[in-house]
Amino acid sequence: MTEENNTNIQNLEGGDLYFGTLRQQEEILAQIEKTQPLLSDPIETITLLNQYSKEHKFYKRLQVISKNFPLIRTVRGDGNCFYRSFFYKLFEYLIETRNESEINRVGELLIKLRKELNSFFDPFTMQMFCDEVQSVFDQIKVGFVITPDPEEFDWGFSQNKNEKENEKEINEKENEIKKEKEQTNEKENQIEKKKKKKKKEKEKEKEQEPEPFTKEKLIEIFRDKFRSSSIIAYGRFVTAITLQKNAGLYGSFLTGFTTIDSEVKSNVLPMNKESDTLHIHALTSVFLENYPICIKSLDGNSETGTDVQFPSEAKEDPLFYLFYRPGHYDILLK
Amino acid sequence: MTLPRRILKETKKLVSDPPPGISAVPHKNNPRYFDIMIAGPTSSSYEGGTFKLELFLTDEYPMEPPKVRFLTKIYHPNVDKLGRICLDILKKNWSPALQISTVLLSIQALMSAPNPDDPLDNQVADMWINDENQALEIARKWTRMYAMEN
Repeated sequence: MTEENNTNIQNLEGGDLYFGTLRQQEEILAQIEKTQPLLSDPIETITLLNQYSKEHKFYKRLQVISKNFPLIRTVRGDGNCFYRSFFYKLFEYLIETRNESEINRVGELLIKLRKELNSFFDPFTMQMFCDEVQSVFDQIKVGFVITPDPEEFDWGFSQNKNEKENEKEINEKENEIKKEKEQTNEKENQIEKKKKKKKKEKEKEKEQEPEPFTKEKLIEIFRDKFRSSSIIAYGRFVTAITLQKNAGLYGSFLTGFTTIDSEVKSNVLPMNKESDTLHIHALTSVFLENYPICIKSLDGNSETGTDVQFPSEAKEDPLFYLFYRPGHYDILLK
Repeated sequence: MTLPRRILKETKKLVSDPPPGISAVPHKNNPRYFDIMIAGPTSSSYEGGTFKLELFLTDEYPMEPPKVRFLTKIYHPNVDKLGRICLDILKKNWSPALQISTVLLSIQALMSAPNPDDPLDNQVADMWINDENQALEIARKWTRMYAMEN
């Protein structure tokens, strides 16, 4: 942002002011993208002390936290940090622990959520996001990388492949007309097709050694802006429907004159909008059951900061710990 | 430049089954660029007019909203002289849960119900607030002058 831009904004009005302000916000976000990784490597928690003077109320608390959590992964401060942290750690937990009951629970949940999302929103728009989350989960469940079938997948495939698909459709239609004319050949063609398909699949299996789906693979996905954004968008949609389904309960916690509807439209559905306690409560109430998460907050009045558990009723030890400073979440590592 | 399947599917749907009063046709040379036509909504001062807009899908779509602009001159408090539109879902309230048709329908709705309290052009908005009849008359005049075949 140059000084010239700043003066221009001050002197603008009407449309130019509106769009100038938006452009400034976009520039701030672009700057964050340049300087902050989506998901950092583990770094020493103590290094964060550099950000605070010794007298600052966060300093002592940070020292205490860094004793129990010597390492931290920082997450980009783009307003999506809670969703990014949450889904990364949830998937990482499943990979590292292979907790079968949790894997099964999450698997069933994803199926149920896709149906709900499709009834709340246009299924057409939901598909790519549900598919992305499902893809990550499936790879975790089987333990190795699954290359998505371009005929099934909704995002990022080349026009060439789609053209081939169209051609294939046209060819299949022509074949069908032929079959109707020659009834005996029909059955033979079908059997032959199945044989060919099976042969192809077997050949594919032989030439490709299954690549294990490791934590590193997961990190790759979360460092891919488009793929991780899809997962975050999914998290936002689930949060949105949860808040709206329980609008009576959540509505009573809203301050001011906003409604759950307007809160969802302004702060949940759009990307890059910060999460607050209400959103976190909603998302965790859906995705977590016996195992909670714990948010260690530097905020509050206690000497050592405050711990907040979501869901509060969960009995087991936390799956993971997040680190909260006003406006931002990072991931604590033991 | 490979085109994501979502855009291909959305384009197909828009071309084969557009919302009533709206047409969206992609450019042959640039499938991310669309020529839009919105019929002036009935019972509005834009009735009878056909309004041209341009719509562009950036690389970030659907994480970022389509960019839309009126090409036909229109007298409306939420559209400025450059054709830029003040509509929440085009900027801060855009969500990947939305799609091109949602945006176009919202623009059509904005034409039916101008919102002078959230203006882009202060002069036009002032007219709407101080003398709505005059504003509607000017809007009708501009519709005749710019949005109809002469």
